[in-house]
Amino acid sequence: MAKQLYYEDVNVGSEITPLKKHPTRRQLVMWAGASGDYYEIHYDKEFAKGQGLKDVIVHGRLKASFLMQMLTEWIGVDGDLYKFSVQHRAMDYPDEDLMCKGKVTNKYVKDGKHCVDCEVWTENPRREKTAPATATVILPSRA
Amino acid sequence: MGEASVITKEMRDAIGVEWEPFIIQVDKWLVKLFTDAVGDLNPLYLDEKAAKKTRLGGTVAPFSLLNSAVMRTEQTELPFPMPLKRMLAGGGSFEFYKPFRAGDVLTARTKLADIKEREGKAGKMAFIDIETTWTNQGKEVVAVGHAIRICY
Repeated sequence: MAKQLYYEDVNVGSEITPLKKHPTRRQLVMWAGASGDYYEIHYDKEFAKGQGLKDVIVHGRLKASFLMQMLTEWIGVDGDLYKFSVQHRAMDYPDEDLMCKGKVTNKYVKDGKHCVDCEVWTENPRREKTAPATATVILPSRA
Repeated sequence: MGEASVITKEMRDAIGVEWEPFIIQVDKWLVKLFTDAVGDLNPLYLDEKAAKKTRLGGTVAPFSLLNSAVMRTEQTELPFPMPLKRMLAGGGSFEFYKPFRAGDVLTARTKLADIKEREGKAGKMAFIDIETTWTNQGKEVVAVGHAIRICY
């Protein structure tokens, strides 16, 4: 597994290791099956067009899961994901690159835990920040 | 001023109403369904030998699994007539307290936490906040989540 990240390694403004995803139509079907979200807007193109969209759209909760994956990979085995909050602000389509990005916005010790607040988001090829989110992670400390 | 509020008395009265608790038996199949769907093959979730060497002592389920379970519990009917027919998932939030793994049994208790009205391009919209608390077989709170459903 990757090198462990420590509280002392990050500062306000530090970039979170980005994660590139490329959700395919098949992946949307897999997510529908795993999550129980069978809303046709995610796999039935005719239905999506009837809703005024050009194609099916990626499930918001799948995008949230991508962001959580980026965070859990960044914090390593000894880090903990504590809080996560996301807005499904804009739509994304399958068969495109979807970048997960983020940066550190604050770091502090609270109740003995070394907390790091982050701003994260998904960004599509049109540079739209489609799922803006915030998170708090707890990192191990060398102290 | 504008149109009448889209939040009816029945909606306001329903705040606090709970759905039937929902049981999730976490097993390796469910974990794999999830890690495959997200494309997240973190050894912590899948490699028992590697995970045993960490402080977690063995594989765990990804917390994002609760993104799916929220959908299952909130897919039950809203406890009031909903005149606004279109619906979108608005977002949500989680606080994670404890890891959970295959073999754990989680109980999801979901309630209607709040309903707010917001103005949008399409007119007035109802933001419905559905809160879920997951506890494990030891009655420890594993996570609390909010899912926002937008009706318009």
